[in-house]
Amino acid sequence: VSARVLIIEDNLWQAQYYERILKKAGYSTFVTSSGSEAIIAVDDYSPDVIIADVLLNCDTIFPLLNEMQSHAELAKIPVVISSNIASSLDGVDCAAYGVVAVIDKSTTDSSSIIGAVKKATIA
Amino acid sequence: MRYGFGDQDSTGGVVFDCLDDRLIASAHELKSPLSLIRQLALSLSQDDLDSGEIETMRRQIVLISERALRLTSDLTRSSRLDNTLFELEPLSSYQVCRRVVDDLRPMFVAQGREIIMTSSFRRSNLVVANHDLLYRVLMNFGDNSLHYAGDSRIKITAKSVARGAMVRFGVRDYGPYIPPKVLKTLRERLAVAHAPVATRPQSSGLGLYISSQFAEAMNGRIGFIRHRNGATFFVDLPASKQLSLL
Repeated sequence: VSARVLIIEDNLWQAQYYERILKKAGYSTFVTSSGSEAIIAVDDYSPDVIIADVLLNCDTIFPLLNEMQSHAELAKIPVVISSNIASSLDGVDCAAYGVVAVIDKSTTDSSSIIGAVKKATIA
Repeated sequence: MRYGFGDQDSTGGVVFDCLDDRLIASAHELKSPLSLIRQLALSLSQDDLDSGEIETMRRQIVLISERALRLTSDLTRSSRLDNTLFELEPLSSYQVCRRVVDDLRPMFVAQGREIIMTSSFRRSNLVVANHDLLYRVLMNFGDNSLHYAGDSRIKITAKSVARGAMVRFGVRDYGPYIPPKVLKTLRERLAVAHAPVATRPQSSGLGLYISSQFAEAMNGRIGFIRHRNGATFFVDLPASKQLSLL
């Protein structure tokens, strides 16, 4: 069974990009565009790993991650942040939110994203 | 109250204090499309793609570029507002909106969305405005609605308000419908307040700021109405009295 990746990304074409490269790498994917949708998807889809943007339509990703940390099972799901404001997260203790990798969208490519997801699932 | 890159005024609009604020906001707004263009371009050269995927990605690169270029063009235009005389003339609301819908449609179609003018649209509505500035405001609202809308269509409307003294151009987006009880539960679980539309985190508010400048240059104003399943961004402009004088 392929690992399940929940993609939380409000830019449709960015989400499609993740979907395409991850599916070709053998992962199963599910896309949501907001924290509100994602909290339902986390329960229903039971992802093995989450790849998420920080700035979303009506909120940021952190309230969701904070909520997940308060549930023992959900807190174990590794999170890969992929964002254009990755450099602004330097002072944030992302590990406390279950974040195992932070990717800068402006400098990354498909192999780096797949590598980060693969590393997260193994961890 | 400080939020993101701009301050909010009492109406929820965003105010940029100085040139530095605008530069930072511009960089923020342009980084996202540039990053995606770069990723797609790299993918075209590195990844194993079929012909359909290649064509789709090429199309996406063109449309993302055009959208980003619109922002740069708006920035240039807004920076010259003080030094330029704008011709305000009676314009057909229908014609302006028709052009906006036609020009935005390719981007909407590419994302599986639909943009329409409402059936109640009155062809006789005349507004006193500058065609270029009004076009830019509505294109900005349209771009914005595309980002925040769900799978539904976007509606562009024009109607008389203030007892016929003004014409209101509205761009209505529809987010996913969430029943009130579910919405309340989700908000409690996520511990987030009902944020004003202008403070949607993804946006620096720069587009709205530019639109408000354009509206003011035409003796109008912009605003928004939040609905449970989306929002309407609008610009109010003086109605033309030309027809009433005939």
